[in-house]
Amino acid sequence: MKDNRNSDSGGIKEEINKIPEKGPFRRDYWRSPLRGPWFASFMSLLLLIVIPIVFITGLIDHVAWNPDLGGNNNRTPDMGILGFLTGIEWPTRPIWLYRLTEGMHVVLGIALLPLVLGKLWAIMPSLYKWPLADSLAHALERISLLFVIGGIFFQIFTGLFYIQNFIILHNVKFNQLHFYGNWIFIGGLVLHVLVKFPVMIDGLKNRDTSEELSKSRDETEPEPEEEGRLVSTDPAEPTISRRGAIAMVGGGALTLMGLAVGQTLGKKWSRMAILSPRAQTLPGNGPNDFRVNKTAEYAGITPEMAGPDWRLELVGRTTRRLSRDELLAMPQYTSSLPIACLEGWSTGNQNWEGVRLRDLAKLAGMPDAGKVLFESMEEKDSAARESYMRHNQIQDPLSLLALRVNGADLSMDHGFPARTIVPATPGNRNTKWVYRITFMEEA
Amino acid sequence: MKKIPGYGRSPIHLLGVLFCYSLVTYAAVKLFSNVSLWIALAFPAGIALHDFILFPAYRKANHFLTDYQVKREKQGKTSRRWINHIRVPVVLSFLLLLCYFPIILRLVADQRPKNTGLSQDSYLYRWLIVTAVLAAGSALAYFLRERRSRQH
Repeated sequence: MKDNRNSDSGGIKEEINKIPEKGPFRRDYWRSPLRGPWFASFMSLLLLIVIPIVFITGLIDHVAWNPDLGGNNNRTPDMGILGFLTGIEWPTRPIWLYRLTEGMHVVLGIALLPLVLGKLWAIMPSLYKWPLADSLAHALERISLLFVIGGIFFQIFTGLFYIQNFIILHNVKFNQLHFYGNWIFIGGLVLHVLVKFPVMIDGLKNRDTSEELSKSRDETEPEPEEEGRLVSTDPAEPTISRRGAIAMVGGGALTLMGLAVGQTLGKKWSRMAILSPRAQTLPGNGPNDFRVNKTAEYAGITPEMAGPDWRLELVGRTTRRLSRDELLAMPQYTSSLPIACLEGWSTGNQNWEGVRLRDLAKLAGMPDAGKVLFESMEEKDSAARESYMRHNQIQDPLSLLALRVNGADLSMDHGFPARTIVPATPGNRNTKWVYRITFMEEA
Repeated sequence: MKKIPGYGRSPIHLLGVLFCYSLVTYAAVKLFSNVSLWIALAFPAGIALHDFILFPAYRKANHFLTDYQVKREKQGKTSRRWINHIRVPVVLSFLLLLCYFPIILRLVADQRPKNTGLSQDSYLYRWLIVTAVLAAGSALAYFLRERRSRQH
């Protein structure tokens, strides 16, 4: 019988000494015969392919807003040295550029979830190493896993919560979370890759990948025990082959992609995106029946505000007030352009008709304006109330102040009386319900 | 490469650690000067949620399934392994729920259709339908394989 008079501190020490024999710290607690260096390395390789794409397309979204123009274009105003990409001129061609990059960012970002979970499953035993660290260096390295694992979940879920308008993000600035959260994740990831990249390469070299992928369940053997902590010392019978497990993880990613990609492929495909928040097809087939982010009613636009008394205030060297009829009397041009939202959905090309922005710049007496500010009548969403664009966006012959779409007047929801539409520019920057355009000299 | 005494890893490792911690500190200071410090809890909470709830739950569920399968096989009551025909639809359906639970469970701010002109009421049914299709597809695949193996 145990001596109860032992001091408490002795009891704790004893408990600590016993940790390696307990639960997940025991090597035989982990029974899957699939786990091992090769399997973990393969999962890492998948992530190492997908994460950079999601990271870079995310940075592209940051640049696409032209944050250096200030105002609402800069969603993270005091980013300091993290704004090192600020100032790059976002191009207007190809016209589908933002549609492609943002669609990829959102769809692949969602598809990361099963890959991350698969990878975590594969390396779980190594998180329960005892002692927790063998040196100061090792301790710092292991603490940084908090940034990697916590960070990737943080990024995936803030993104998912944002596109679904989850109530938990109400009154929280999503852009701050997703932008700075990204850098916390990347900080951890750089160290993790630096340390583990050689381990991953060794793991992959240990076995012939195509041979491993050809093995059925009955041929699946545990990896050799001496290859480290990931391999179980008491492996169970396999119930699935390694390629089966990889197919399950990859199939999960493909399922999520397949159910999300329709939101960015256009009208017919959006039927496939049955769980995406903004992918439903609008009833009807009229010229204005394509998706909006926000209706006129929600934005607080009344018929009176958009009625015959509406005037466009055009500010440059001079200030003019133009009625919609006066705008329609100017040379009209047609641009076939998509709407692409930062939430990842986009529409196919729509035929917008209206006045070229560069003609309006001339009319305002500033044909070489370096910058322009669009202001909207809307009340609800401060991010969409104003938008800045730069010289190349004003000068593009496809950039319009649109008055009509697909052969009909703009509907109220699409920004009647007038909205801007500029190629390759985020939907949110294309201001709806415009009431003032101010051309400025300097960018 | 040579280890730094008292540190325990190579100089490159130290450079990596310095880069990592300075970038993370800088980004964290910027983040928390803009949003509440409570958000920081999301990092350990995400890990805790995975390691102490999600992982043990699916580990238990999986052991239950495998044990049952093995028992049935020993009794000679089942010829073909059905376990992956359960795992696959359950995993996929769960993944979809994990991604889209805010809209499925209607935990959405301002879900009135006037926001986007689209109704968001039907997502629970949409998810249930996808789950039903996955389950039916998996069951069908099982019976087809079963029949084919009997014919041989």
